[in-house]
Amino acid sequence: MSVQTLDSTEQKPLSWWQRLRANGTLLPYLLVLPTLLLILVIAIYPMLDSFWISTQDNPLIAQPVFVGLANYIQVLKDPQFQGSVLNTLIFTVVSVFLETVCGLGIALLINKTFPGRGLVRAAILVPWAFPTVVSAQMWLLMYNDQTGIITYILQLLHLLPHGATLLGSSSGVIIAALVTDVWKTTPFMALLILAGLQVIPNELYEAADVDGSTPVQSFWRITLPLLRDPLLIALLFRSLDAIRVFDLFYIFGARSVPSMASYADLRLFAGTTADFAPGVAAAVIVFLFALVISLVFISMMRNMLRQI
Amino acid sequence: MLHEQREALDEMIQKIRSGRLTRRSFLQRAAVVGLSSSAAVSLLEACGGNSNSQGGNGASTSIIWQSEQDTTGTYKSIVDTFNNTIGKQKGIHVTWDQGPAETDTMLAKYNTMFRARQATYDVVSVDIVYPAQFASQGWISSISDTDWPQSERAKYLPGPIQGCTYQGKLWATPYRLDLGLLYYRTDLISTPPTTFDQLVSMSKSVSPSKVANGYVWQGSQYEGLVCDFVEVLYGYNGTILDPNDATKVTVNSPEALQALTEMVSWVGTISPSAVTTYQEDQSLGTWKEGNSAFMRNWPYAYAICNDPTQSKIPHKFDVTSLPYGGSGTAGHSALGGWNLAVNAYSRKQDQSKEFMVYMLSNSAQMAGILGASWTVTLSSVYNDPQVQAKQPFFKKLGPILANAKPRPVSPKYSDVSDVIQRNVYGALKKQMSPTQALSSMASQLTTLVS
Repeated sequence: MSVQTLDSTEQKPLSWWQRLRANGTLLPYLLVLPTLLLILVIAIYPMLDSFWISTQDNPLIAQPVFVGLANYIQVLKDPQFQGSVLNTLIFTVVSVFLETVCGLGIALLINKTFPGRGLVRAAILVPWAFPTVVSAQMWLLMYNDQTGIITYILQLLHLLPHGATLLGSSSGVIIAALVTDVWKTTPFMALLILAGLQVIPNELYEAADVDGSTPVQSFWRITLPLLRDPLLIALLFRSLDAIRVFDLFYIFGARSVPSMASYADLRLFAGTTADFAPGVAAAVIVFLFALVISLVFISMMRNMLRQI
Repeated sequence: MLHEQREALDEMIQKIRSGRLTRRSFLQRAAVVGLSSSAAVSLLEACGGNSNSQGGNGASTSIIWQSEQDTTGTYKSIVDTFNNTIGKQKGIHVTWDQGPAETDTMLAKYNTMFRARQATYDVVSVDIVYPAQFASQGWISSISDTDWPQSERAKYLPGPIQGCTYQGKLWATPYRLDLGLLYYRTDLISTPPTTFDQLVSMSKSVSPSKVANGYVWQGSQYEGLVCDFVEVLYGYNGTILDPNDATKVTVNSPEALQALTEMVSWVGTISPSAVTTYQEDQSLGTWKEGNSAFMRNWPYAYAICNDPTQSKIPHKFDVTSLPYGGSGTAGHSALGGWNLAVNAYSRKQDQSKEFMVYMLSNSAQMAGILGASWTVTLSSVYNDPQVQAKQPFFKKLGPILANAKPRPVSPKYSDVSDVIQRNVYGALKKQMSPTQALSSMASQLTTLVS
C-alpha cells in the first residue's frame, strides 16, 4: 500500500490526452469501442428515449406535443406518488438494514465448519429461489383477515383489533412487505457476505489470537474492515433492488399503497392513453433514484475500483 | 395470443391456399402457435383452401375473438355452432381465444394491442365501462343501423346498451351482464331488508351474537369499490354525473353525503374493518364459510354457495335487490358485463360484425344462459320455460335487472374510476371526512370530464 502511494505522489497523473499521445496509438481505444457502442445502443439510447417520451403530452398519437417537464410536475404533485416515494424510501432503508444485519449474522454462523454445512448453505437459499410475486401471494394468504395465520397470531396478541388485517393500513402494508422481503432476501445477503468472509486469511485471526485478542475485538478489528468492500457491493445490489421494489407492493398494497415502480406500472398500463407519458415520467424518476444510489456507492468504492 | 402468433396463423392459411404447405405441417404448426388440435382442424377445414388448392376444403375468412375468461366451455361450444352453421354459409371461421382472469390484466393487454395499432384480435370482449374510452381513441368500430337494426335493439335489456353508447353511437354489443345482488342468510333473516337502515339494524341484531359479521362487501381500492359506491349512491337517489349532461359533475350533493356517510359507518361496525381490503373473492370467502349475515356480490357467487363441496351454507341463503335509503325509493344494482366490440384496425370488419350479431341471436343467448348461467341480454330468454325450469334463480333477477344502472359513461373512464376509488377509499379509511371526500372528488372529476 505504502509503495503505491509513494509512486502516485511522485508522478503527476497524466491527462487522457497525454496518455493517448504517450501510447502513440489508438489501438486500445479501438478495442473498447465495440463495448462502448453496445452500451450506447442497449443502455444509453433506451434511457434517453424514455426521457424524450416523458416530455411529450401523448406519445401514442400521431403528432405528440412537447410539453417539457409538465408530466414530471403532474406526477410529483400527485399525493399518491408522494406517498409512494415515502413508502419506497422507508422500505428501502429498513429492509436493507435488516437484511444486512441478519445476513451478516447468518454468514458468520455458516462460515464455521460443522457437519452438514453444505446442506445448510443450500437450504437457506430456498426462499430466495421463489419468484417474488409467488412468495408475495403465499404471504398474502397468511395475512388474510379471516384465515391468515399471521392475522390470527397478531389478533391473539392483541396487536391487531378483531376483524382487522395488517394489510388494512399503509404502515401495515409496509411492515408486511418488509417481513416478506427480509424473509426472502436475507439468504442472498448472507451468501454475498459469506463469499467475503471466505477470502479473509485465517493467519490474521491466528496472529490476533497469539496477541491475546478476544473474539469481539477480532470481529471489529479484522473481520469488519476486511469485509468492507464485499459489504458495499452487497449493499449496492440490495439498495438498487429495494428502491425498484414492485411485486410486493403490487400484491399487498395494490392501488392504495403503491411503491414508486408499481405506481408507474398503474399509470402506464391500467390508465387511459393520456396517463402513459406521466407513467413514463414516474418510471424515469425511479431510474434517477437508482442512479443517485449507484453514484453514492461507487464514490464510496472508488479506492477498491482503483485497485482493480 | 401474441401478435406474432396471429401473423403466423394468417401466413399458414395463405400458404396452404397456394399449395405451399401440407395439411400435416399446417396442423403441426398450428399446435406450435398454441391452437388446440380441434381448433386447428376446424380452422383448416374452414379456411385452408380455395377452389384450386389441395390442402383444405374451405375458403372462409379466419377471424379471432378474445373473450373474458370462461371456464365453463360455453364460448367454445357457441363458436363451434357458429362455425358449423352460419359461418359455413357465409364463409367465416371464428377461432376463440381464452382471456385472462382479471379485468385489469385484460385492459393492459388491450391497451398494448391497440396502442400498437395491431389486429391480433378482430373481435374483443370488453367490460361495460370501456366502450366509450376505446371509442374515443378510435380503437373500435361503431355499429351502424344496418349492422344491427334499431328495431332489434329494443328486444334487449336497455342498461347495457346505454353503457355501450357514446356520443350517440353504439360501439359494442352487449352479450351478457353482471349486476350487484344482496345475498342474505335465510336461516338468520326471515324477511330481507329493503332499506339500508333495516340492513344495519338486522345486522346488529344477529351479529356478533349468532354470526361473526353483519355485512361483507368490496371496500378495497379497485374497480369493485366504484360499483359498491354507485349502488349506495343510486339507492340514495344521487348521481355522479348529470344524466342529461355528462360534463356536469353532480356528486357533491346532500344525497351523496348521506350515501357515503352510510358506507363509512359500516366499516368496523356491521362490517369487519378488514372490509377495506376485500375484493369479491375475500367477501365470498367470509360469506361461504358462514361468517356473515349479508353479502353484496355478483350472480356468480350463487352457484358456488349452493355447492356443498365449496360452501358451508348451501341452500341457506337467498338473493334480493340492494337496499335504498334517504329519498330513494328503490335499490339499484351497478351493471357490469361483457360486450363484443370490433377492432378498428382489423381488415375483416364485415365478417367480425357478422359474428358479433350472431352472439346476440336467440341460440347464442340461450347457450349462455343454459350452459353457464350467465345473465344474458336478450329479454325474452328469461320467460323461456326451459330457462325457468333449469335456473329458478333467474326469476328473481327480473325486477332487479329492470332497476340496474350503469356506472358513469366517460371516454376517460379509467381516470374517473381512479378518482372515485381514491376518495371513497380515503373516506372509508377515515383519512378524510365524507364531506371532504365528496368535494375533492367533485373538483377532480370536473377537471376530467369538462
